[in-house]
Amino acid sequence: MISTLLKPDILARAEALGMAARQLVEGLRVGDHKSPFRGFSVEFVQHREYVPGDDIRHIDWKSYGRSERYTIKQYEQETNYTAHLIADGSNSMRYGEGDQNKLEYAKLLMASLSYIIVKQRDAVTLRVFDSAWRAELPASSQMGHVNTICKTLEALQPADKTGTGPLLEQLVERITRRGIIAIFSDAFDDVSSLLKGLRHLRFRGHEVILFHILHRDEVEFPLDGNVRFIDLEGVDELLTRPHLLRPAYLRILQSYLQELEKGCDSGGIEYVRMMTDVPVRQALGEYLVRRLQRG
Amino acid sequence: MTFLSPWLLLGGLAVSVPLVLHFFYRARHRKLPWAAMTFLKQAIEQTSRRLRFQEWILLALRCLALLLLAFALSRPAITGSTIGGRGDSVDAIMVFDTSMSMSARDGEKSRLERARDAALTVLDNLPNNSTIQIIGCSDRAIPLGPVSPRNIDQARQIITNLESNSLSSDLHPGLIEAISTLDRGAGTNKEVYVFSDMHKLAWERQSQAIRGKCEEMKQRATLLLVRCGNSERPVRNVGISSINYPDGIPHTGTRMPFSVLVRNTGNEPVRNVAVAIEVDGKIQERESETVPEIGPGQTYPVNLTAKLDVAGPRVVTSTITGDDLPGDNRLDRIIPVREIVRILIVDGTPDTRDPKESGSHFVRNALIPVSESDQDSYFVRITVVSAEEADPALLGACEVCYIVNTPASSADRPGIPGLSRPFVERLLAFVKSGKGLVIGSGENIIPARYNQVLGSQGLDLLPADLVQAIIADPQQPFKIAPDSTLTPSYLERFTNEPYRTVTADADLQKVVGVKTEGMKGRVLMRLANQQPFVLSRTFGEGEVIFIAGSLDEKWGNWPAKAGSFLSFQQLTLAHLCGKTIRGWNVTAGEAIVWYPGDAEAKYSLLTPDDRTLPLGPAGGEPPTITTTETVLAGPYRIVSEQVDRETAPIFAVAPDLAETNDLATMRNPELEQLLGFKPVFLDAGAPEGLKTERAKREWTVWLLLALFFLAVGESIWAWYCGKAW
Repeated sequence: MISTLLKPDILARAEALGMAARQLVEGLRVGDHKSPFRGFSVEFVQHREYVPGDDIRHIDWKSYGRSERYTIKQYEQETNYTAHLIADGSNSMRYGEGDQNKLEYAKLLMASLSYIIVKQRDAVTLRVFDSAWRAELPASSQMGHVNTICKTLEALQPADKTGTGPLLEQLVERITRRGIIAIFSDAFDDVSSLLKGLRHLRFRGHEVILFHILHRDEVEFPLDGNVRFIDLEGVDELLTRPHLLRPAYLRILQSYLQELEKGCDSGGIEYVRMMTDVPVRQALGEYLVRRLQRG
Repeated sequence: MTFLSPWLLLGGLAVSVPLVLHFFYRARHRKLPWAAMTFLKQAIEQTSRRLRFQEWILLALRCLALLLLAFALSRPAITGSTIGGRGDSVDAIMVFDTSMSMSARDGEKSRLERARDAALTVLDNLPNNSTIQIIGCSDRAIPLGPVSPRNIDQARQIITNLESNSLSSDLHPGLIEAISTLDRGAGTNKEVYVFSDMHKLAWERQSQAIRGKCEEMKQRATLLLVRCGNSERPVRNVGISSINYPDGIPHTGTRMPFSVLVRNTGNEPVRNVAVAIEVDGKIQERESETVPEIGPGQTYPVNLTAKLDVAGPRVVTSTITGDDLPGDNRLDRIIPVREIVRILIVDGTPDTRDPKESGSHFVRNALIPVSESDQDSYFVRITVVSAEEADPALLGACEVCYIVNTPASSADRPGIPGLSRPFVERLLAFVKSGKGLVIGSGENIIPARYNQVLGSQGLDLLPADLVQAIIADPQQPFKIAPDSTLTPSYLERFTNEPYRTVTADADLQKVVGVKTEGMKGRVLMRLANQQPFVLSRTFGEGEVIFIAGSLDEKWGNWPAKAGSFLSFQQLTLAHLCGKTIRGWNVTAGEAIVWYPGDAEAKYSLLTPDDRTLPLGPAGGEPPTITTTETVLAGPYRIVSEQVDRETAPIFAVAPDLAETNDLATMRNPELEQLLGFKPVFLDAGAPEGLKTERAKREWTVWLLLALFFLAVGESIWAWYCGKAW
């Protein structure tokens, strides 16, 4: 049975665009993506001096004939990658109604991405966290794995508050091969801690993408009247008139977004803001096009 | 301050609405699960103090707006519980200053015309169901109607017919009448309009009493002072002060010289003043003269003559033209025109052989200052008799009686006849009836006997009791002191030259002493040693003149000093002859008193404006007609069915010149100071002010305007609070 998270219109466009690794990835199989390892494939890279222990099959005899020196011919290895989809399953992701619910939006994004990644024979893993790791699926490039991911996502129900930074630190130790780490979160957390985790991942050579899922209400704060705000991740309640707070709220939010975006940019982390009122098909399509254009 | 709809102040309780909304608004809210709580908390931390401040300001503005609305709807007004706002019926009382100064024309209209126009404007703008009462006021208050206070048409008619009179201003009676009218009004909204030129005299004559009445009025009504004068244009005024006939007694067959005193009471010179005089309204015999200019404060005598044809009381009328105030431009005076003036001289020692030895000789020559051939045709006829010939009947035919050096009784001086008792007793009635008695001193006068017969112990005719004669040192005779002449008196001319010098030149060796303690008369002239020399006492309608010196040359040479003695006698005769008409000339407002022969007849008063006012029959003993309906200057007559207009007694009423002596008006600050509070000041020349005054006194419009601005301010503040920070 096909998951409801896999929408044909989204997949059709995304599949056509594909999601290639923008950096070197370490895979187990030969694939379409550049590997940090030099091997014996199609793409010649360089010659190097023969040293004892090298396989003599790789000696370039033509070069020996010209220079009477043993040289080894090296080629670039092409491999597949593993995409680690990290889902924020904290309570803060529950905001929004219907299609604009942040978690639902993130689920749709992750399902679609996992499909197109598997479709291009790359592997994908799924991890869900809030204040701790809640679910983890192993890497696989089998199409059946996409269904597993979708079922996991469908079953996902937020239950706790966010603790992104420390969890990312843990993740650094658990992912040994360089791959793509895509985090889907509203990132309502301590920015410095979050950035620290992200940078750590990046330092380990991963391509890190932060899909910042936000609701339009959270960005523009267009609320009016007398509102009792109930904290989704705590017990606090605030009765206020939001239109009076709007300027201050927007100022603070803007500062937060700038800090986050700037932190990502300086750390080589790709920051992708996703507004839940923009259809996933459009948002994902635009992102993949941008990614394709950047190479 | 008061409220015309005080129950609407309860609307102020609506202030609880925003308070309730403010404190219970939190109960009405929607719940919203929120993810970005951190940012919200930070926003609240940054703005909570400001927000609270804004909210309190907004709450205060909204409460204030509601209070202001309730306040405006309760219709607050400036003063007193009696004030009316727009639309409420009013009990209006209009007090019109109708004094003489209101006839002044200080612009295109006279002050009274302006008052009329202003009053009609007020009348036209009275709310429905209002009442009106009109009071005329000069030195007296006259309720003019209307009969039904709601009859606005009749009120309009009364206002249209208002005329000024010749009385002086005094607003006190008008205010008393207005307060009395206030008592009769049933409504609560009362307005008292005073239409006046704000003449100083009107306010300052009884300033304290006026202040008290206005204070009283302020508690019960709105006092509105409507200024009817044109403050930018001063009034040019000349008025006729008096008509004098300095040359003696008016008598028939002559052109009598008159001196018309014209006085400029304004602050500007008046040019080309035409002064005219006529007798009995004979315009064809009018004589006139034009005075080129009369300066401010200047009194200018204009000498004119008038022909006197008929004996009896005649009306001499002088008129002037050329100024702005017509009220004092005409003066009527009744003068007694005589064909013959008969004088009786009772001489104690007549000497036919040597007339110069008797006082009657000098008196006679002084009273008939013409040549012997002309004496028969002269209008003064003198009868000289001795004391024993002095029959009481002789007094009936004469105007003035001289008693010259005559003993009070035959027993006083052996061999010299004195006054008979019947004659003395008749003298009393003679003087009382308005005739004149002149008593000259001499050796035959024994002071104690005079006191017993004519003095305080007898008929009490003398101005003072007499004491022993005083004899001067032959080297230092007594001197008459003309400077001591009482002013004003008919002898005041003696303070001027040439009378002054020639009188002071006379030497007197002896005079009768006068007991000054308990003196009932006045000293008209004294000697240089302050001894009384000429004394006067008014007795009934007549007057008694006593001369301490002799009227012959035995006690001094004064009778020989023609320049002094002759003038003295002429002035005395003219003065005493004028006594008989003194009650015929009155000032406006004074009473006309007449003693008719027929007590049964019903009398009426014919006024100068041809109105007939019923007076009824004469009352009292003797029968007396008294009326104070003398508000207009001019000739009045008292007529009855038996007495026709031509033969009816005539009286001349002069305008009250106290009104025009000073034409200064009170300025608003001065009025405010006098009253002790600020009444509503209006200008009769500004009809818009009259129309809108009532609306101005009610604050509703202003409060609603303030409310509007407050609402705008609240909106801007609310917008600003929601916009910024």
